Amino acid sequence: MTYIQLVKTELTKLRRSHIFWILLAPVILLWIPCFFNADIHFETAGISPENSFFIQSYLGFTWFMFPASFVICTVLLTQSERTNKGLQKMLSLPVNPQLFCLAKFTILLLLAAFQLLLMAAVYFPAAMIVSHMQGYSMVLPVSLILKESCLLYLSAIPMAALYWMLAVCIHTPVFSIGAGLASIVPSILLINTKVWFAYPVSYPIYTLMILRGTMENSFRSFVMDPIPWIPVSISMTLVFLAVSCMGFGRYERR
Amino acid sequence: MNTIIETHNLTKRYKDFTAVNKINLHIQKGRIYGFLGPNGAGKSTTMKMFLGLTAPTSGSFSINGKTYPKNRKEILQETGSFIESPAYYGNLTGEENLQIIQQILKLPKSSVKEVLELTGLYEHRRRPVSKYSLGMKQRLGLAGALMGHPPVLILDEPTNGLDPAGIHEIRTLIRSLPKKYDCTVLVSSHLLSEIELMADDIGILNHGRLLFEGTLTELKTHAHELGYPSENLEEVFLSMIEEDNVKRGGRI
Amino acid sequence: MILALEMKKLKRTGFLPAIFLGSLFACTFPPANTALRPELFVQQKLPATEILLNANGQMLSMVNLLLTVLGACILYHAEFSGSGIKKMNTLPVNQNLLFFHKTLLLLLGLAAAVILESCCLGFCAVHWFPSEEKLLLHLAQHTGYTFFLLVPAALLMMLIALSFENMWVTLGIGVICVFVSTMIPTDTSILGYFPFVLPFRLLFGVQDDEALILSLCICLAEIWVLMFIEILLQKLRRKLS
Repeated sequence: MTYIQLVKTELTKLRRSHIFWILLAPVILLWIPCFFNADIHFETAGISPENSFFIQSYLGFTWFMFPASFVICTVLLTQSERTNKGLQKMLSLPVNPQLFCLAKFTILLLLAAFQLLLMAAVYFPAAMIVSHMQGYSMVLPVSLILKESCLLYLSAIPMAALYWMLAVCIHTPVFSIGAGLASIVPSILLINTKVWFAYPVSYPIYTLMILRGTMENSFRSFVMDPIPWIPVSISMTLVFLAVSCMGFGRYERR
Repeated sequence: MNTIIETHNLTKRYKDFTAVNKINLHIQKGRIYGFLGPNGAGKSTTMKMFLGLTAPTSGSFSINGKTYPKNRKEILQETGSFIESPAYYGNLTGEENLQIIQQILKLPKSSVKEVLELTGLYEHRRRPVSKYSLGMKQRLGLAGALMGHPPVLILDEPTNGLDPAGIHEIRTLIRSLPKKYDCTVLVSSHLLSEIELMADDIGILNHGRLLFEGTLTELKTHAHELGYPSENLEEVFLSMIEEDNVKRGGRI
Repeated sequence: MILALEMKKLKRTGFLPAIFLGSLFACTFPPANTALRPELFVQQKLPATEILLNANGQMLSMVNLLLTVLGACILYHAEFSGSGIKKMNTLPVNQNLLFFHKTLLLLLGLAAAVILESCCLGFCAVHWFPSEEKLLLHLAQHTGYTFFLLVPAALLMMLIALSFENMWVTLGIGVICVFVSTMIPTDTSILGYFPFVLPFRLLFGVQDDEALILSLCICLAEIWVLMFIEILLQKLRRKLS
């Protein structure tokens, strides 16, 4: 089976898994408070209301819900294989386990892209409603939103690899979820330190902080130096993927 | 003969579906009562009502003179039960699972060992139940029901999932219980051949209604009177069910 | 007796390691945070406990809440996964009592976590702020206050876990509750007292005694209300089953 075929079969496995709702729920929940406290964006000094609206909403998403969705999706993807021994069946078929593992990782990346798209898709109506409520245009240009979404997406890939490795290697679902969720917490602390590039979970939020720095005068400016960040992140991603490919299905083949 | 379990127009209705329809059971003390019916006939629901796991929509029942919900605790104290698929804590060993029941029922510690030996689980007592085979889980459930020699035993398809040797063993065990522990057993099955070998009395249930109640001999006589082929009881049972289904509107 | 039984049920569920590792993980924040940028903290003219809590308190609360969610999930997953709870229902035990003992276990675990975290704060205070007075008093106050404010969240989480047989639903609701709570400022009038938001209040962030007493009273009221809801829920459950 080729890689593409494997990805296709993996996509069919998502049917009726309710994963769509898991991706949608946080996005919707995130925008509800925005309508209630829309006026606070006019009180923040040094940043225009429309920028403040965008940054505050995306901050909540990037700092917790986006990584948390990754954690839930990875565990869901591995558990759907394990609960009814689907993985055992797959491994008894002529499929390359490593390729199979990568195909599943691809699904994870597709799901993440889908969630970012949902987030952007809900941003525009939400911004329009708030604009209408406040009598002030809150809508930012489409190009800016798309560009930022793409940057967030790219910066999230190492994090996806990390969570995929955790889900593959930790068999008890409660523990892999626990480890994943706990790992989100320190990211906000680490972005303020010099070693932020050593922690993949903090990449997306760091990316957003860079934009915030350019939008908000009084805010400290964050800089993303390609060295050592790019080599470090790429090598970490590769290591995570290698470990997950090695560990994938090992338990079932003992 | 004194009755130990008695129901009076016992009914359980879910929205638009009647699981148990006005049944009147009379279970004699010290006997094995076989509860027979196809899947979905309402056997489990009736047994669940006896244990207070689901409340009757109407009607009433008494066990050993006690009624639900007034005497729920007393009923549970003196009823050993085994309902549907085995219920257990997968993370605990077989022995630990039984110790929990032993402590709740305030029984001596030796009772755990006794039932483990009785059900042939003694050598597997230190293994987590999640690693047990289906048959072993079934035995564990039975062991839990037998703890403390309760005067009433309610067993829902206890031989499900066992191999022929295991079925025979459990059947012999159940058969010996009334004499050994002076208890009454209510056991359900969807196989007449099974009940035939175990029970003294039989109740046949179909679509929530009681079609027949009486001893095996009475069933044979009853079948003969109605013109069923009486040599084979399994056939009697099947034709009774079929005829009832036809009466209900041609549904099989 | 029931407490001993419930403790036995926890064997091999990973409840204790989860609580222990979780709090150990939380304990790495204050020293790491202070060690990475000591210049930011040592100059501040505030009590050491307050400086440390201002820097790390939110994160500690968040870990404690996540531990609450996970703990509740584990406690009830053990009941539902092998239908152990069904067996319990056929035994002569009071179901409310089972629930409260389970909650007590969760609270004991959380208390251990909070105490461990306080010890860690104490270590940081001694290490970076050697001339600190009243350290023990402040730490003790913080520990008690933090733990007490966690109780409603623990009760609510246990109620959620009791209501859903599928652990994933419980977990999902828990995570979303924690997440939404991080977005709600603690000084918001009504939402600020939601059980999951309460633990984000820090002892030193409270302006005056009146606000402090108010938060404690509301916390106590929530505990009573949640316990009452539990009893109602069990009654309703038996009726509907």
